[in-house]
Amino acid sequence: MDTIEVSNLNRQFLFRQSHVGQSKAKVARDAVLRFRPHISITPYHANVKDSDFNVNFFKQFNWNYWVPRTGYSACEGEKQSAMSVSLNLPQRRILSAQLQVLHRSLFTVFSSENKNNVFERSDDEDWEQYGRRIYDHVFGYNIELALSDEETWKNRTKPRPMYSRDVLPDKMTQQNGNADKTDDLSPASAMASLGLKNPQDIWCLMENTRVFLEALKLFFTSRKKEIGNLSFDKDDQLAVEFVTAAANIRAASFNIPLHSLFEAKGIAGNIVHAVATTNAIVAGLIVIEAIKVLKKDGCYRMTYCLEHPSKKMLLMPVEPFEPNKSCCVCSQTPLSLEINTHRSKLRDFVEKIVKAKLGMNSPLIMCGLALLYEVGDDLEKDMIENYTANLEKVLSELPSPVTGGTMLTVEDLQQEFTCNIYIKHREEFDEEKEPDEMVLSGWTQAPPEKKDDKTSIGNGASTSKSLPTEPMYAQKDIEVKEISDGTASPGKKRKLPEFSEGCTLDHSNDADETMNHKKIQKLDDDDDDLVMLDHWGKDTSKKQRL
Amino acid sequence: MSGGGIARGRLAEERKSWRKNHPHGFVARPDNAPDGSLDLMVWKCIIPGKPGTDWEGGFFPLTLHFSEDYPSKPPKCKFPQGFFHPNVYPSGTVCLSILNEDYGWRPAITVKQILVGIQDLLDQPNPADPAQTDGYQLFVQDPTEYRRRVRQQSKLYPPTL
Repeated sequence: MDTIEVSNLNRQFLFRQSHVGQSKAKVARDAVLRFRPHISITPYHANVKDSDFNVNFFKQFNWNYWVPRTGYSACEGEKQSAMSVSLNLPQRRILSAQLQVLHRSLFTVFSSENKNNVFERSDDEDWEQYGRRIYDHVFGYNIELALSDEETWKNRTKPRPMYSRDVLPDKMTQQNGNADKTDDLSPASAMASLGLKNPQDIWCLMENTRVFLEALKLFFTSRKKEIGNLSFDKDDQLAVEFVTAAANIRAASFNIPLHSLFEAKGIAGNIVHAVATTNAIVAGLIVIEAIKVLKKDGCYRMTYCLEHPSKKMLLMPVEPFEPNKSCCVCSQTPLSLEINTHRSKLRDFVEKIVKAKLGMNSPLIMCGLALLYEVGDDLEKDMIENYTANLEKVLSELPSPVTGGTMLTVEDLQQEFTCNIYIKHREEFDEEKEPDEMVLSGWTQAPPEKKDDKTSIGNGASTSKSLPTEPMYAQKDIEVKEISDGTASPGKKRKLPEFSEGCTLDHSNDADETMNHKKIQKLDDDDDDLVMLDHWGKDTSKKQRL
Repeated sequence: MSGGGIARGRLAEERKSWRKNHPHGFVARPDNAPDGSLDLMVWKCIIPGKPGTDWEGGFFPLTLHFSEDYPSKPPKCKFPQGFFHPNVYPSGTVCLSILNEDYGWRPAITVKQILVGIQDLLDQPNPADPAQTDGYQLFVQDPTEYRRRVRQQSKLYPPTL
């Protein structure tokens, strides 16, 4: 149900200011019809998660946006980073908690009749006294209250209650000139009244405290009428200031890193930093591939954007990887599992194979025509009991016995993913080498591969026809990481979020990691920055050399 | 080994699709045998009578028996023996064009469509294709008595939960 926003206009070429608020799908259709009046376009302004848009819906098209779309977000490093930032859970939670504070303090409570409410200002209080009282209540008293439940803090770091007198002992004095300005033309801003200029600076606790108090005051003095029906808007400077300050004070209390206003606005407003050029390049690449798909050309290319163009070459087209033979999504070869069917329980199979290795969260396990296991909130009680009982049974004693020679079928309720597993009974396992007492073959187990680098992927120098042969690429290991188009903080390279570092793959790792499709592969350190992101779910566990 | 093949794959798909989305009040699930196994070839279903009809309030048990030839061949759909309806055989088997291999059956018909189709049939019997004398004769000759019998039968099948 995407509609056009002001912040889209810089990078989404089909939209103009007059379109703000309208359906993206419909406006895009009209825009295209203006230069191609004779084609037929059906816009769908709807939620893609609606059940109407199921597999059958997508099957009716010759070409499907989803596939290249994966590559699209992969190429756009900045989007990726922004997504990772927003995945930073503790901070998100804090921010949303602050949004509630904003709501609570600014309209829920003020509009209530309750006179004894802490958020009610008494007549003899000035704005600063009032603000400090709210501050002490929210960041001091409420934290003390939370601390009194000792059970909660047994295994985690205790937050520190914050009181305004400790952080800011002196009374706030009027700042650099433009405090209390009555000029209605420029919207109230605590940063402006306090003389804080750079939205990318991270304020210290004292500065946050001042912004908090100032913003609260400004809401009451310059925007009194709105109180009662304010809601958070990322384009409302004062609201963002208030939320940033409140979130940071709480973050300091919980020992979580503080954020600049710019970052906080990005997180709270779900802003994805992107620029028109990147979008245009990637969209162009997608269209080129789409034309090939429709022509059944077959000469497809996967194109990398290089963060540091070498020889003035920004793009590097390569042949797509071959289907990975050891991946049961791409190649449909049956897997086989050696297991002691008289000792291992269905639960072992579900945990160690289906969940850990195949990466299924909602599996259906079938033995021929018998359902052995399902999981989900929709199941009836007696079925759940039945399946729970099955979990504790050894394979050979299941209602449909699973023994050597049995073929198990495992499907996932949420994914289009079926695999057949051929069961081989085996009595003994090596305790050290095979602690799971199961050996799954045919599945991606990071094949040890050092020598055959040329064959492992299809993009050796000979395949990228549009590029001059680059012996350099064949020689060196290449660090593989996300692309950053550097829009976030000009002048310095945007730091990759923990997300990517945490996922740097150690290839000796367990294969359960190989299901993480968003993995970034880091080979040897090298200053040659070829950049790519593997989101394709294939080859994620292979070492790759280009 | 048995039970590979197309029928199993299709039934697994039907199962998944039903779990994700199914019409309100309907039940359809693989049969729970006494030994605890769940058989994908036999589904126990419940069809609610349509509100506003004489069938309202009844939750009618129906069993679907799939064969190895499914979905080339339709499942056999059975109400309890002696079920009162012009188009239900004394054995309980439903007589409906979409369930007839030689007439309306197409492999693309889903379990959901079958059950909704049978729900429609309850209140809209087809007198051109009778399957039992009792229901058929009352339906054409004595509508009042027919309706009384239907309402009586609906009371026999209250909601199970």
